[in-house]
Amino acid sequence: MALGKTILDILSKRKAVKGWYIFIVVFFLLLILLPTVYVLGYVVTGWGDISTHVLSDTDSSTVEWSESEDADFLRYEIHASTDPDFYPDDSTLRIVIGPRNGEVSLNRARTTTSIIVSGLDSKEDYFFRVRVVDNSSLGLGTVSNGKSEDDGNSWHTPPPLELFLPQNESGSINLSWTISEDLDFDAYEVYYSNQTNGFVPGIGTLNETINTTYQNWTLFENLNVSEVHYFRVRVIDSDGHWSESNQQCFDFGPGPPVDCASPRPVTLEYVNSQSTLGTIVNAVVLSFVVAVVATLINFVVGLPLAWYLVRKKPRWKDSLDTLIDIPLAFPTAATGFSAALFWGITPDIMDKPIGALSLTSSPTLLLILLMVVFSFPFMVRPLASILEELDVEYETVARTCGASRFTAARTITLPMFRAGLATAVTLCLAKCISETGGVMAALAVISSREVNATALIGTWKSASVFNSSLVAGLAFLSFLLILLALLLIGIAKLIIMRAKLPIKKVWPVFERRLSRGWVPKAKDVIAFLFLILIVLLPAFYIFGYAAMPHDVELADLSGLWNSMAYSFLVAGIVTVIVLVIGVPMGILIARSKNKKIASVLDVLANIPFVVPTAALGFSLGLFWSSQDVIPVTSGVAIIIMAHIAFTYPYVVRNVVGALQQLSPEYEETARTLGAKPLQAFRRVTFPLIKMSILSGAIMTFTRSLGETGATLAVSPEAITAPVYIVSLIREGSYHIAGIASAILIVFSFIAILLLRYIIKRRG
Amino acid sequence: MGLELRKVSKKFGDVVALSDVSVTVGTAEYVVILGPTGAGKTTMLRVIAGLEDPDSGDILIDGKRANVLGPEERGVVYLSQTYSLFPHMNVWKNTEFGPDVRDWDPKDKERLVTEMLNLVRLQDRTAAYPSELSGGMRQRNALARALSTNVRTLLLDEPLRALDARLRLNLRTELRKMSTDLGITSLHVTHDQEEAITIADKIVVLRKGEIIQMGSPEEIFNNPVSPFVMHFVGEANFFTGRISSKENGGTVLKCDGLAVHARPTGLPTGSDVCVGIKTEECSIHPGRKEGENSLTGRLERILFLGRLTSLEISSEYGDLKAKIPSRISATLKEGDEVTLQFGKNQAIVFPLPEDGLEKELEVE
Repeated sequence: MALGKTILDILSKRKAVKGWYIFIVVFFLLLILLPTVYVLGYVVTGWGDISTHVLSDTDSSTVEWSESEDADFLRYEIHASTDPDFYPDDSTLRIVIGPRNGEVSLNRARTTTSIIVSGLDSKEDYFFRVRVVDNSSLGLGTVSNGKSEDDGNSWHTPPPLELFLPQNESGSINLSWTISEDLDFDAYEVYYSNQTNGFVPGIGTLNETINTTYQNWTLFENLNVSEVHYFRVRVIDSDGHWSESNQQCFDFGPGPPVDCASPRPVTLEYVNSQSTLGTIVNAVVLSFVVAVVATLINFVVGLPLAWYLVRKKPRWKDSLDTLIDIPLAFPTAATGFSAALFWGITPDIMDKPIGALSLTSSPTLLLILLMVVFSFPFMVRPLASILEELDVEYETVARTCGASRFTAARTITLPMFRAGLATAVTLCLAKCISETGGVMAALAVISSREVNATALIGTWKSASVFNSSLVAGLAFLSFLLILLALLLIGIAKLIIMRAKLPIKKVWPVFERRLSRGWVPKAKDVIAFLFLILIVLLPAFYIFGYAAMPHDVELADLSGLWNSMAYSFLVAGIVTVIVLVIGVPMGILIARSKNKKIASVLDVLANIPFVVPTAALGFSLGLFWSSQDVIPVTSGVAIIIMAHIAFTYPYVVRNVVGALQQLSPEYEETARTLGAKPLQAFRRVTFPLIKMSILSGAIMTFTRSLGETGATLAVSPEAITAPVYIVSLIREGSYHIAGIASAILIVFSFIAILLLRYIIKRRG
Repeated sequence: MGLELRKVSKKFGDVVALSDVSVTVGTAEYVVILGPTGAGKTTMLRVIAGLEDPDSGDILIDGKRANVLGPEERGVVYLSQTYSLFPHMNVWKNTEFGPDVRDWDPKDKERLVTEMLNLVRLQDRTAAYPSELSGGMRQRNALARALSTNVRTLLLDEPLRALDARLRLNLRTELRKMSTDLGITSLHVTHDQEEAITIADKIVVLRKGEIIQMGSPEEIFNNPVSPFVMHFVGEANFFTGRISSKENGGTVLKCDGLAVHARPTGLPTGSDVCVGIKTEECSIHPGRKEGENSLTGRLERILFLGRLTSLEISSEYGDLKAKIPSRISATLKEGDEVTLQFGKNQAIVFPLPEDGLEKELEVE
């Protein structure tokens, strides 16, 4: 008690208060704002890299292959050559995913099954193979099938074979392999060698050629029992293109057999040749098209719903409010999975519960439907709150002057809520452009190779560990995304605030007809159906999927518990810090005597709002790794800083808004009644703006909990719950992902209720 | 020694709110600051309370310079126009606020709060929230809250504004009585001259951030220092002209051919002046009547105000107004020829304002 009072006294000193505010502003400027836009500066200094890797006339190819299941997997090697008959060696090696010999193994190497190979000559056609190497195959590994840059249409090789463990039958060795399924099959070539370090198949080691598809075995007799014998089999198609099997060996010795089997071959699945710039442009275009269309749809439907909510004041308004806010509480990775199951044609998931529409495999359409769900509350909330503020009197007056309901709404009320509309559109666009987790989940579910900008940042960031030239692409992409997002939102605001609304002309008869009878009812009904069918049903569909009988054991969910603990820890810390630094900033902006500084701070504090979180995360990562003043090396710390940056505006905005509504007289009166500044805040101001702070805190918590883009862009190693769900979906563990999504949603809800309870009780 | 302002100035951007204001308020004195909207009245209270920092000048509370003190350290309670009762606290908690933040002994607190609530007759509504109280009750609650801090100085910003007319009359006498009984120094801001005259020990007339006149209600009413004060504290008729001669115990002015006999003045003969006569001091006679300070004209409008009636007369020297007892005006009707007369001592001579008379009389 006494200690608390002393602290209170110290904090109430004018100097202490001033110092605290200065700290808050400096913290914001240096540790939130600067890192958020750091990438803009990086683009200037790193322009050389960007022009070499992104803008120059070089080609890059995206290469995808199947994941190796080898127990002692070591690395993938990506080889490319302009010679179709090349055999992978050091001269054709482009990228190594995983440690080279003698290095420590990386967790993520095995699951990285896609990479961009950049710096290729754009005038040439390239041919690719992936070699998979394990710890014991003497460094030779296994070569995959080959594909050319134009997606294997004109040049491709048969699917690779798997060579089985040789069997010793009555003194001879029986070698067998998988039957080739290639329609173009021409021959099996069996290679044999007795060199001690394994061998590269060549003319000298060709032992036998078999022309029958079904003869997938051969016998070796009279082998020297004191040597180790190595085997590989190639499959040749009618064009003479080959694929190779893994290596097997046989050892007649009495001791344990020599372990010289190389990993099973991986299959090279996809090669495309798009320039880095082309990939960036496509992704950015997809992001912005989706954002604009989804925002328009939400406006058209959100306005009648907001109107209904405010003007009609239905008895079940509270329940309706909650329903509209649901997408805010659902982590987007879970919602994205859910909505993609509902809408999408899902090649890998057949056992969906009834109700799924399975309408589309178009990524654009699916993402639009998805964004409509995510951003719906961001449209309805601001519209409803501005409608609430507008005095209904104006409309009443207009109606007593003879205007029909529709005319009054259109000509009187609509022009007055431009500001609210601008906020709604800003929030909606920003949310759509930022969204990452839901997008990645949904695109994986429909097996789409197209990605939007934020998903591309997530993918490239994790691949950039293995291909460092991607950093230039990432920087350019983030730069472009931030710039265009600011531009789009700026233009949208300008149009909304400046555009001439068609309010002069009135069509009394027509508009009167619109105001009566079935039209207004139909409008309400459509808005409701939209809310239920397009927004809520797809979001809740996941529970149906999770409830289906699956052969998932509790042990499979251990990853979920870990990731959830991680997420809740991060979200909790972030919420506390944002409250501590965001509330004073809000007070400073709303109550500062210096209006100029206040309005500048207000604009600055809102910048992280419109910076797409994936770009923000990348920028933040760059910032922290480029400075050594504050030694932050732990990924968690940077992730927390990133989450603070994009949730900061939620608290600041809410506090500023609440304080601007609240007359400063309460605080001033409290002061003249003898309360110290902190006392006046704690006893008078805080209780009056408590609910706004609470809603800011809940927003912060849920946004942090659901965030994927910023987390991935900071550190691909950090497995938060949404990242975990996305990775489950990407590796095809749909059932576990479904259950994990449902659990995460339930826990988010419980957390929100708990937070609400705690803050309510403490005030 | 209660409160003193020494050459206090305050600007908001280009707008001058206070300019070199010096005022002294004695202990337990009831001072009313009177002025039109935008005169700087509220700013003056806020500067005293410490809610605004003056650009220059000093504020002394009990003889000590208070500029550097925070609002909570000045022992001065500011009561805003809307009372600012904390909406989330009931009557009791509101009243207890001051003792609470000072961490006084719970027993003292309870006794003090009970006492104050009894004083303002709210002892039965302690659990009510501000939104459940009537305007008068809110005002009394705000007063109780201020008094329970053991405050010595009260700053009242239009404390009666939000109340209806009848209640306003009752409460202003009550307010005055309470502050006298408790020996509290009060600064009361209003734009209502009647309110000011009835309750003040001393009136400070403020205009455009400057003090125009300071004095007892009688002084302000009977001896205004400028046409503005005269017009603001009760309506007046004005003429402009020049001093033509001085006689013993008076001044003769020529105003557009009209000779006006007025009070003596220190201004030299030949100066441009204006002269004002309060509308209540004018008498009306039916028909044309000759004599000193007589103006004949047509009665244009009769406005019944209750005990008094306001008359508007158009004469060759301009439009004139008079307020006379209704029993006298009863015989008159619109269109009658009447004569307006006033005594020599009711006509006060002022130097002609630099910006002209009209500008001087503007309220906004």
